[in-house]
This record gives sequence, structure tokens and C-alpha cells, in this order.
Amino acid sequence: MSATETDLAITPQERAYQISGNLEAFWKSRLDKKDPVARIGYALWVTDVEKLRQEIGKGDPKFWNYKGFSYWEFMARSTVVNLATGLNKGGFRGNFKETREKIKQVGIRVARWHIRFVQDDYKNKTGNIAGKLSLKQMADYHHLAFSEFNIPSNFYGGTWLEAIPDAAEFALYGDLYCHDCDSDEGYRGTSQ
Amino acid sequence: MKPFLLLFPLISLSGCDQQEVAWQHWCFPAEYLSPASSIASNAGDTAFDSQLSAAPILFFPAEYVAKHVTGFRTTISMPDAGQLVQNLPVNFQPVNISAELPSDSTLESLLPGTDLLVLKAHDPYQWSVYNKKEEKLQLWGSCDLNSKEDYECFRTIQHDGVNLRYSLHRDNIKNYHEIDELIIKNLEYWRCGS
Repeated sequence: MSATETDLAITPQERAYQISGNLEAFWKSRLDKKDPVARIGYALWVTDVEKLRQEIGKGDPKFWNYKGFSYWEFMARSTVVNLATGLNKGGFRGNFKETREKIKQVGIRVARWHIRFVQDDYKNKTGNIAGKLSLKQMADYHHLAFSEFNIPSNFYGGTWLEAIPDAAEFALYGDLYCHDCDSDEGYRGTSQ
Repeated sequence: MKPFLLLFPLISLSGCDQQEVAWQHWCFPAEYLSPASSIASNAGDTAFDSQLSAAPILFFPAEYVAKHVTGFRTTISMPDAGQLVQNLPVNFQPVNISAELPSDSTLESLLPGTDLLVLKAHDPYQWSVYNKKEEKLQLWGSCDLNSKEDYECFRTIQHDGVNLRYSLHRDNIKNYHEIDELIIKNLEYWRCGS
């Protein structure tokens, strides 16, 4: 490993964050190591989107793929809507609180698969940089995590970039992307 | 293994209108591939690792596995995630896995009822697992802590010039011989021209 590269191994602290369900801390730790998957992971689970704005503002534009705050915030919102739609297609029914809890469970499993894939990649020195995943590896384990919840594969056909929800789905589930919210006021999910 | 049950699905995969994906000497039915198999680039995003494997990714639905593997559990409850479907993903690993093998005296059983061994003093979060083939110790794979009492494993098989890695939960680990056999039989069946 050169002096400019970060050690991408999963730390015991990161495992503890995932096991305790602290996804914001988990993805922030990965973001600090420039783990590419942490860009969307942190955007999804940050408790205050201003923190995301600050991270993007002070970060390396190349790492953020020359995309600004509005792009990553939209990607995170789209992912939540896709998850809610996919869970519904997979048979899950719930109110606002239950749906958010279920999405959190999916998030915990995604983080879990991330740990396993990164650690395996690190140990076996797969690819150019040990512990850094390709888009294909990321898509692979997202599909696995989603399939555990019966979410149809076309909701994660390859990358989140290929699965932008439509206006109706945003109207139905867009409010699920919120931070520290606990009210279902205005929520129009299918169980309402 | 349930030989009679295995026969039907193998035959059903041989339809001539089946979409197939060729890689090395195999022709994989598209229905047994993960959608991620077709990704060939990072879509211009340079933050990802630039080297992508060209290998397809196999994906066997839990119900399919349960039809062929006696006692395979299709769902397992986890405290932080509810009931999870236990599909069987299989990756072709690009590297040869080599490991230093410990001496027998340093090993103990991983799980009663299995032939799996683990170092008595191992990392609490992730550990290597060994078994014996014809009395010779070999690396079986690795396991990874899920919660205080729970873990999931990556099993690695060397077969026909490739390394295969699949994932399974502790509650299905006793079935690994039959799962190995299921994967290998399918690979043999999926040889192009067979």
C-alpha cells in the first residue's frame, strides 16, 4: 500500500457500528477512507443532510464523481423510494413507521454484505486495490441484500443509476427519505 | 442429495430457447445469473476499483436449493433484520486461495455435527475454517460474526480450474456437502455442448 492509499480493511469499530445499527457512523467511517460505496451509504443514513453537504463541499470532486450535493441527495431519496416500492412488490405492507423500520433493516443487511465483500476483497487482494470494490461487486451484494427481503431483482437491476423511480412512486414514498422524522402525516403508502 | 428431484430441474434447464451466457467453457442459463453479471464497467465513476471481473455471478433461489438439499432452511430469522430469504449466490473468484495451514493441535470443532475446524484462538469477528479431505487438512472458507451468537460463512471450492465462493448462514452450514454437490453438478451440466 502506498503512502497515499488508505487501508480499506473493515475495523472492529465499523463492525460494532453495523451490529448496533448505527449506519450513519458506519458509513461515515467508510467515507473517511474514501470507500466509494460510502457516498450513497452516508447520503442515505446521515441524520442531518447538512453534514452530507459539508462532506461533499470539502471533499475531492473526483471522489464524488464530479457530482454535487443535489445529485447525491436525489440518489439517496430515489433509493428509499425504490426500496419502499420493491418491498411492496415483494409482499411487505406497513405504515410509515413500519416501512421506515423495514428500510432500516435492509440498510443493516446492505452494510453487513458490504463488510463481508470488502473483507473478502481485502484478504484476497481482488482487483487493483485491496478492499476497494468495483461497481459490479457493489451491485452484486446489493442484489443479494435486496433478495433477502423478496425485493424483485428489477429494483436493483445493476446499479441504482438505472432504477430511478417515477413521479407516482416519488409521490407515494418520497416522504420516507427524512431525517429524525417519526410522524406519518401526509404519508400515502399503500397500507394507508 | 435427492437424486430424483435433481434430475427434473436439470432437464428443464436444457430447453433450446433458453437464454444463455457463455463464459470460459460454460453456457449459463440466464435465469441462474445475478443481474449484476452483465455489468462490464464502472460507468465512468473512477472512485470504484477499476478492475472488474468478467465472470458471471450465479444465483440459486432458496426454494430451488431446498428442493435438492435435504434440511436446507429457506428463511432464517435474524434479530436485527427479521425473516431473511436464504438464496444461494455463487461467485467465481479470480485468485487462487492459498493459506497457511495450522497444526491439528491448535484446532477445535466449529459446530457439532460437522467436520469443520477452527483455531482455538481465533479472531472474534472473522475467522478461517478448515476441514479434512482424505485425512489432509485444507482451507474450507471463512466465517464472519453477525451478532453475538450468529455468523455467516463464505465457503470456497476449487473445481475444474476455478475457485467458487458461496455464502451460507450458520443454520445451513451442515448442508455444505450437498450444496457443493449441487453447484458442481450444475456446472457439469452447463458445460457448453453438453
